[in-house]
Amino acid sequence: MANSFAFSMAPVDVSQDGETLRRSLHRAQMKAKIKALLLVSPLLLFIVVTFLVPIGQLMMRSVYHDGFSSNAPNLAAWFEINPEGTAPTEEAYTALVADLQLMNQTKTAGGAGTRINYSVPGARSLFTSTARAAKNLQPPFKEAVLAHDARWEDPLLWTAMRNAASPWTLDFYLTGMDMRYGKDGGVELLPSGERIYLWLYAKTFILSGIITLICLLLAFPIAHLLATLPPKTSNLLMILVLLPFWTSLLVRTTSWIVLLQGQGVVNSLLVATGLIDDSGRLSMIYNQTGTIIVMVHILLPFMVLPLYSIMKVIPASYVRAARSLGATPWTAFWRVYLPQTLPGIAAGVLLVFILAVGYYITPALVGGADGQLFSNQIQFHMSRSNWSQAAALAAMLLAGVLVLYWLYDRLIGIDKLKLG
Amino acid sequence: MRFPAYATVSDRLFYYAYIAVCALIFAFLVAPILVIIPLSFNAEPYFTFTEEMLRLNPEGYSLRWYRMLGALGMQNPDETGLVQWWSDLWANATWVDAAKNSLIIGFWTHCCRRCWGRWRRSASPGRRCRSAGLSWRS
Repeated sequence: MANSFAFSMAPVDVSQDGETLRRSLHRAQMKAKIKALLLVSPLLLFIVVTFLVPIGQLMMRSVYHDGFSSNAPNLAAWFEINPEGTAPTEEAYTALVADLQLMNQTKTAGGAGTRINYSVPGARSLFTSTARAAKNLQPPFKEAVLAHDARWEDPLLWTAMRNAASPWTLDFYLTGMDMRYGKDGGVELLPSGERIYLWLYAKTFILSGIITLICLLLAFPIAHLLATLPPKTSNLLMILVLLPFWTSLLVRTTSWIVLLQGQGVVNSLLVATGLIDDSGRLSMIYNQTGTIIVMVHILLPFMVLPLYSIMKVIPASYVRAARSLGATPWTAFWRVYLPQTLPGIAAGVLLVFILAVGYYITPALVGGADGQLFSNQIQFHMSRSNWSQAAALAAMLLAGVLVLYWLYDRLIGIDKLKLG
Repeated sequence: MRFPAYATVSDRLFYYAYIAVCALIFAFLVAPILVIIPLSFNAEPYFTFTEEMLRLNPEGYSLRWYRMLGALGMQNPDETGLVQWWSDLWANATWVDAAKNSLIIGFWTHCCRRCWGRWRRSASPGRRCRSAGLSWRS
């Protein structure tokens, strides 16, 4: 009796080695998960090392620059004690001369001057020349420094030095938004003739929008044709879409130069057919038109492929049913066919727009003067080793794309997106 | 194209116009690639079609650039010994170097993709996505 009682009280789900089933299942699942994680860990590491770390560094560089602050401890201390708006006193000049002597010894006057030069043009040469002379300057330092170079009196220079005394700065974003520090210490827009970035920023987004729209208009008919033709023909035509997709971007860009240049194929054909005069050859390359044409060509497959994959699964009977119920061809297209292609349109538009916003090689090659995009300015600053400015501009571009992405999510819904 | 019996004249016209537009767009897509091929046989160092090329004069065409590219970077392209010539090509030619790089990068990219897909599959047995020329699982 006692024996059978003990048996009935034992847990029902005991496996052979005395463990509960739940625990052993849990352990088996954990093992599978760890295995999967180990399998993918090289790739995760790769993503962290090649994406997250560089982007983090980029963000960091855009707000952190210690070129001046690490080499000017005395000035930093003076700025610490004296609030903003204090006119530079003899003590300030004493600190300045001490720092310049230090810079001369460690040969860092160029680096520190470069940091100030971003805000006040000409500051670099001022720093290097004064640093060379610093060890011969005698007190009172204010007169001595001003006698060496009167530009040291400039309040803008002192504002710039005060801002650079801390390595954390928003100066690069200010420059990126065409702003600077005014005489009163506040922030002001540059005079309209000197603004570069704001208009370029807007133009990048406008041009990307135009390119996306043209891509959509061109891709829609051919995607529809590919999706409705019998597979034998459509596979053949699909090669025409994939051929440019598989060809190198540089090859395509340069071959557009052959086609569109002044003595190029298109112009020669137009002249030969008598449509235009020999003197009136169209300038279609090395300007904004060139950028648009070539970028549309390069990005068109990115619009065709998602559209095609959506159109492929839309049954043709819907439009036929609409027509047989009395809809005009236009109504059947607009009210029945188009709404079904929306996920493909959404995916294609997002893909093409985001690619277009960051485009760099094509505008650099065929854009000439007025066809440049924001990325070309980023490249310009990188080539001049002004990494912080390049990083700030890149972060601005990223922010713009994120805002548009958020808007897109609010208006259309990211779950509508369908890449395949 | 066989039209259904109820297709009107405007239906047919619209269809032909639609085909014509599509043909133009396809021409736009492949034109640059078609243009660059004959231009690569240019005998002159100019980035335009020369008079001779337009008149289909054989003088205007040559394999000059292919020959130049094939031997670019080689120590001694005029070497007559076959073994030396091939080993020189394998070790020094710029295009062989580039091709090696492409193969190595392509191979590892492919491996990473396969690993990623495997992990995604084991994590969530989702549906299979297809798109022309591209296919992946999500």
